[in-house]
Amino acid sequence: MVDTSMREPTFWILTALATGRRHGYALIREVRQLSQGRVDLKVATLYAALDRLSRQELIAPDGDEVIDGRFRRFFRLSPAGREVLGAEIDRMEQNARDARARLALVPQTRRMVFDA
Amino acid sequence: MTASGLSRAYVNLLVWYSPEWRAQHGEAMLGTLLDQADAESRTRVSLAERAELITGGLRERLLSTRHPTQPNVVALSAVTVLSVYYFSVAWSLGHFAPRFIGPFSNPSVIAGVLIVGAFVSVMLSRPTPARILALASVVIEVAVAVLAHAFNWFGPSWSTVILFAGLALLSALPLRRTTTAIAAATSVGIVLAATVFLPIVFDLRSDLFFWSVVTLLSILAAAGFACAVTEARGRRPSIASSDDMGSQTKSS
Repeated sequence: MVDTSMREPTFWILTALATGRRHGYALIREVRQLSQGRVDLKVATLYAALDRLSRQELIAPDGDEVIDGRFRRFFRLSPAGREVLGAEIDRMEQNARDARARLALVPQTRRMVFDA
Repeated sequence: MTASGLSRAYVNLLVWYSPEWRAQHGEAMLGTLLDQADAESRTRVSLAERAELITGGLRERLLSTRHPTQPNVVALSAVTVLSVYYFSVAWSLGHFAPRFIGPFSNPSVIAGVLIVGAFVSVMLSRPTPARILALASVVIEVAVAVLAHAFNWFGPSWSTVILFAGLALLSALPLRRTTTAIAAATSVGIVLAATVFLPIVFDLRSDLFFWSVVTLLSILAAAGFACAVTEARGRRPSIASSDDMGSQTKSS
């Protein structure tokens, strides 16, 4: 079976870019904040992910700027990336609905077993 | 450490990445690393960062989906033909000795099988398995040679190991295009000298001369064929993007 789920760092990178262009360190900071500290991206991991997402055309470079003598490359979410992120959110929502429905069934199931 | 010292330390660590990667992402990564050091009020590279950049660079060099350059393909073709030639040398059906591997007298045919696998992978536009197979073949070839010399088994000579491992490494490592070209040309030159010119000098009429010419022509034909195939595949964007889609569904 093909695994179509998205890893958490990828999900948060795309989410961070959903509201506009970001450079490397801004992405690290925002992903940490959005994931409530669960995802702490390392620089090497971030650029490996950005490289892969660029090749998949889910994100695109959005200009280079030198601020205070420091080079910064900005990235933005592409239309394809927006679509993939939307599909992932739908999938997660569906999973959550299914799980919540199953969870609600547990007390009834137990009662049926005890009654029997 | 001063700001420029920190910057230099990061630049030195980024050398673990391939030149292509550094040209594309080096400056942006450096800026991000310096931003992070500032945010953490650090003036030195942390141990965790050092480990992360080294492993990240090695992973990028070994597992990237970047397609091999033409000199990489030429080196791979040469070592593939040598391996096939070596199969015939090691083929000993009907003879038996305690350390034979099936019909082969020499366990280094395992390295040869891996190289043939690498060649097939390149032909099928699968650069990552090709790179892994080529590097694994180097490890096996060296291990077999060491064990053969230590325990008196049949095994490859050191000159064969150096030639095989050198060509296999050239086929797998993303060295600079010119460095790879020079090294591949030198290696192919050594192969030619060993298989063609020395037999000519010593004995023109021997069978060895005939097989040397066959080997040389095979290397040239394999290299030409492999370059043509990879060039043709490189012009078809659908193949590169299908690789990417594979990684998208699994690893994104």
